[in-house]
Amino acid sequence: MHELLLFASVPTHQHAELLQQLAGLTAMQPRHCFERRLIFKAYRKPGVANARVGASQDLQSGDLQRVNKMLNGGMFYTQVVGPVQSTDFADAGVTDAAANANPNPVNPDPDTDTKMDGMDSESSIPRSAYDFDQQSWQLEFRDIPEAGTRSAVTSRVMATAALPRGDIVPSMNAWGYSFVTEYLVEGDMFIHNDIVLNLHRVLHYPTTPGEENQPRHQMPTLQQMAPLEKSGSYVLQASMMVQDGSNQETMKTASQHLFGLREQLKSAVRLEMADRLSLDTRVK
Amino acid sequence: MPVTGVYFIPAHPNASTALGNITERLRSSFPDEDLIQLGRWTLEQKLMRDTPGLLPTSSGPNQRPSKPRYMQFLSLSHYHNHGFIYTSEPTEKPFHPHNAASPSPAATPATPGLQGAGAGAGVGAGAGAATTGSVNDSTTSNISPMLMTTVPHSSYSTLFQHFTYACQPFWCHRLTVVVQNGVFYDIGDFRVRLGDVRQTYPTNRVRGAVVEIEWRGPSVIDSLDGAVTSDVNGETDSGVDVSLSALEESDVDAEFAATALLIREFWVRVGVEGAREAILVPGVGSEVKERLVKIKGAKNTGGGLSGPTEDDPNPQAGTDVARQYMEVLRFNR
Amino acid sequence: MADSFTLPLRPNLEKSDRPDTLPVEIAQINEQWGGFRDVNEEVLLAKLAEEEERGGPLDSDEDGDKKEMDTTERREELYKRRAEITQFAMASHMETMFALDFISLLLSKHAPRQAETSMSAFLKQVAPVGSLNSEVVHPPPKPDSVNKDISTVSRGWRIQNFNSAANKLLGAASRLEKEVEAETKYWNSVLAIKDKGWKVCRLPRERQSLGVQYGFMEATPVFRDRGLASLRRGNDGSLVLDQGLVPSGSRFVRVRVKRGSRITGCTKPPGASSNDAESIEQRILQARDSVFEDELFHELVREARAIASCGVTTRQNLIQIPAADDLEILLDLVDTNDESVHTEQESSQDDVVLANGVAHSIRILLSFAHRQNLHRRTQVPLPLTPKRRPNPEYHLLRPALAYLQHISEARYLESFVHDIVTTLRSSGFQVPEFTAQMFSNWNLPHHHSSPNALEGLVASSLKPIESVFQGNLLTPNSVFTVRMRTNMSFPPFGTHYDVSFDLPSVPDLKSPGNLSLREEVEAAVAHLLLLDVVMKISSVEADEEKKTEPDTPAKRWWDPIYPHMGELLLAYDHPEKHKKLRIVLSRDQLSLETYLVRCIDGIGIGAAEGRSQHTETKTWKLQQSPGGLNQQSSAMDFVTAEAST
Repeated sequence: MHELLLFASVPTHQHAELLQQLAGLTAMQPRHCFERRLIFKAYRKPGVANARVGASQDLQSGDLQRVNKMLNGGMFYTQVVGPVQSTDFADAGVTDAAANANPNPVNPDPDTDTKMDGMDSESSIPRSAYDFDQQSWQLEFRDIPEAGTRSAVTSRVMATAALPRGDIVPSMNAWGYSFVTEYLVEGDMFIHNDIVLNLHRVLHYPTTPGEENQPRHQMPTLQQMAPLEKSGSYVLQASMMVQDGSNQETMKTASQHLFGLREQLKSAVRLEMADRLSLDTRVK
Repeated sequence: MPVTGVYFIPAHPNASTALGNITERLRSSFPDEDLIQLGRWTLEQKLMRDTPGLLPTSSGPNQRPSKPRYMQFLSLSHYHNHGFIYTSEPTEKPFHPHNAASPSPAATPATPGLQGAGAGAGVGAGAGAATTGSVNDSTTSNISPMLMTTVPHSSYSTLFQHFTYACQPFWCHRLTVVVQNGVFYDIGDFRVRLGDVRQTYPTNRVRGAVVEIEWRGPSVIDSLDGAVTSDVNGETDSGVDVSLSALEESDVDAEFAATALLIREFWVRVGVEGAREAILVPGVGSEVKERLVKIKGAKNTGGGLSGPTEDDPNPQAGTDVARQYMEVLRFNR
Repeated sequence: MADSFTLPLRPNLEKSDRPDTLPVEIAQINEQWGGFRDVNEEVLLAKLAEEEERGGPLDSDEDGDKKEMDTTERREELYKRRAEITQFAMASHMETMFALDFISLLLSKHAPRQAETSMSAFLKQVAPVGSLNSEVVHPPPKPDSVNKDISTVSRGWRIQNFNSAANKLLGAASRLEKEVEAETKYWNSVLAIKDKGWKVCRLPRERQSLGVQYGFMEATPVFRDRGLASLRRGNDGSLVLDQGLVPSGSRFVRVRVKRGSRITGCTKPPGASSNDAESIEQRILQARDSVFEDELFHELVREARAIASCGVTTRQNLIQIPAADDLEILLDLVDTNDESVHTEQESSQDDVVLANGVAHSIRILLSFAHRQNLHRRTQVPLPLTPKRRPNPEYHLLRPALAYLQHISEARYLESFVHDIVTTLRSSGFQVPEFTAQMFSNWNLPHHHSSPNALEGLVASSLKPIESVFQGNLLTPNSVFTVRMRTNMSFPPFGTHYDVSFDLPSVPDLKSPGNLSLREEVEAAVAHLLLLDVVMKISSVEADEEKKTEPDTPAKRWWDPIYPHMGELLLAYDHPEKHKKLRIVLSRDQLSLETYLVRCIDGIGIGAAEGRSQHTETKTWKLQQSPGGLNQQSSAMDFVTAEAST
């Protein structure tokens, strides 16, 4: 599956106005959404390619070449995305005493005690009704945008697949991915015919000790989240999916739809393609 | 989740399979039952292996031979809500320094289950060897423990494509086998599914015949299922039968072992030689035990159970039989 | 404001100091009339009359000419006029050439080379270059009187011009004033529309004019785009709703109910809700209703074509739906003001209600489809593929159709069960009441305030309709259940019956499964009741035996040998004197017949049973009156009597 994209940067002061303009254009109310985005990275033991013993006696020389080629293939970062509700965030002011007493009952960490000593009451995490075991997830793989396309849109290979609920890390580890970090995306979504418009910004979690190694099981309050872009500006992303990227006809139709949207929004924002290397997902 | 057993009778590449023979034996062994075909079923299994493990033995320094790692994709028409992915647990440390392969919370309750079932499998394998004499012990011991994941059916093929596209340095698609025109019968308290196993990738060839025997008689495990669903429907307050709270994990193991005996008796009665058996494979019953733990936990703390999702009433249904299928269909590639 | 600020535009006409002096006037009269002697009133009047006469008839004469002229004359006239024009042009050309020659000759004195170029050849021949000269001549000074005349005339000209300019300006001012008034009126009405909540916007194709959006955003694109009309300004500033090429009359989808060949019910056109029929608001409302009705009919036709397999036929402007039995629903799009629509037919109140019900339901379902479209539109779209996505028909008719069919089938079944139970009762069997649970799967939510509950309510009507008939039978612990489902939305279409029962006395009875014909259900229920009656008769003896005298040898009693045929046997010692009881149960009659059979053990059937001629028959017919029971003996009495003889 392919994805065609255009982006625009939206300064904070324009945000409210643009929301209204988009609502008018798409004839729908904005859908406010929060997404947890976990970043996973494909891993491979260094140097493993040279010395392995396996049940591979039946390997032909052509096969060997193929295997070698595969071993040197690209590896990617991929994201696991889970939608959350605004009610999943902790209520400011309500802090759970139990959290202090036993911050991580499921996975007692030997280091917890020492970390606990350094913790004061301010950094304790307020709790909510958020149930991590019921969190739904989907795998979102995005390739690096295609190079050398003459079209003025960003286009890339994509795949999205629903994953089981709850803790996804063991499965991801087994599949060859390790957890790197996570962030939150807050924004509004509009649908304009076949185009999805996302007006969003990236929020960072408050740094809490002991939670960097795995996805958070509790959500902080929304007020504690800090925007990545200090000015608080937003990004408008217009995206369109194409089932078969090798079909030039549909790809062209899709770009034309996006260009049509760019024309319609010309007086409000400038939609343009993104720098290819800024969307590089390859592991180097 | 019913208790099942899976038998696989290998065949030579160009010979016909034992399917006709088995059907005939079923007919003659159970003359009282009229063998009515109740329907059809299908299966598809895709086997992936770790790419580095495919390299020939290097002449380099003496390294301990690593165990091959597998990732198996299985879809069964009788569990059409989800597909199964069965993956070897990571042996290497993840590259990321923070993730020092610490077992994550959800994996923790599963681990003792795995071990318990592994022990059970050892016993079962012994018993099975006595009757069929063809259980391949080496395959079970040669691979690392495996992790079962079920994914919604829509994701099943997408994920497979993802791994073939974006994970070439560590996963390599080795073969695909399918059962296209399986049939099933009810014989007494058993449901028997039969089918020809054909390999479709990398080449077309016959692999053999597969038989799944499902115990549909009374079972403690079924009542466990009922407890959870009734709780979800909100019809009962606690949702937990009093008798269930007395249930221990060892009871579950005993239940599995007892049913395995019944299935073996059934198979002996059919009397087809040369079959590979998979009943008490590693990890079998771990979801049942997990559920038991959760029900007990829910009773004690009043906490929520993981209920059905909107599109899948029970995401864990069929994991046991999936394990068994994947055990017998993990050909040496 | 126009009143408060006046700008004097007309020239201030200063009164000439004195009127023309008398000598001047006298001189003028002398000049004109040649002296005062002949000038008197009559002469002047005659002169005026003469002038008038000369002017008037002349015009009328010309008019007459025009009328009488035929084409040839016209052409001649045309040629003549053209010749005249050419002549004039030639003459003026010649004059111009003469003037040119003259000037050239004059100039040739000073600039011979240059002047020569514009001289005609003829002039060059006859006059040598530079033969003409000019000199400035100072005119003699004009007398004062002439100068004064000139200044007076020029002053008059100026005043005249000022006047005309002022007139023009004032005209423009009043025109502007009118325009401002009109604009104010226009904008006030636009604002009034906006205040009423209508969406006023710029027209996308015609950016300088305003439009009002009254249509439905989620309708099919054709009708969605029709939901926008421009608000134009009439000459007097009144607001005109310009719907373009769309006919402006109001139409509505009429629903008629037809039984056999008679129209028995018809919906009325929606009456004008306000007496102020011509207000712009009313016009917008009417346009909105029209576009909705047009779309409704369009979608109905589309759906009717899709379900043509159910017997629905479409003509150009008529949809005919055979609903159930002889009931037919007719749908057409008619003009609200069409007088022929209002012709009163012989209508029954029920069918008018039915027609109105159908009319309301299709409109509610179209609105529901609009909402569904909104839901679908605001979901994350599927990836783009080359093939176009199908545009499925809305479910407008099908739910109504399913309902009508279901209620007809259910009523039929209910009356059947009722009749057969009454028949049995009239023969003395105490058949328990049966229960009919109509529309059992329609559980209305208790609180339908939220929009979701509302949509859920409508959505539930799209599901298959289910009714359940349940009753106990004569033999203990026996029940029967008929579950009927009608489904028009997806296959299998039509009404399906699921007959299930629990009849412990006949253990190996299998359910007939899914039935789809009412006759089959009838047969199944009748058979079930027959079996029940047979079992009841055969079980009575056992009961009695237990009660009365357990020690005595068993009394002879009926043995159900062929319960499915309704046959019971009274075995007898004598091989040729077996007695048979045959029960026949139908909707309106229960008949019991006893006769002797001659075959050896009585188990023969049909021709083999060796039936004797001697028969005893008792029949109970369906009686609608409740008191009919007592006039005949009960079936059980008959059976007991027959058993003991």
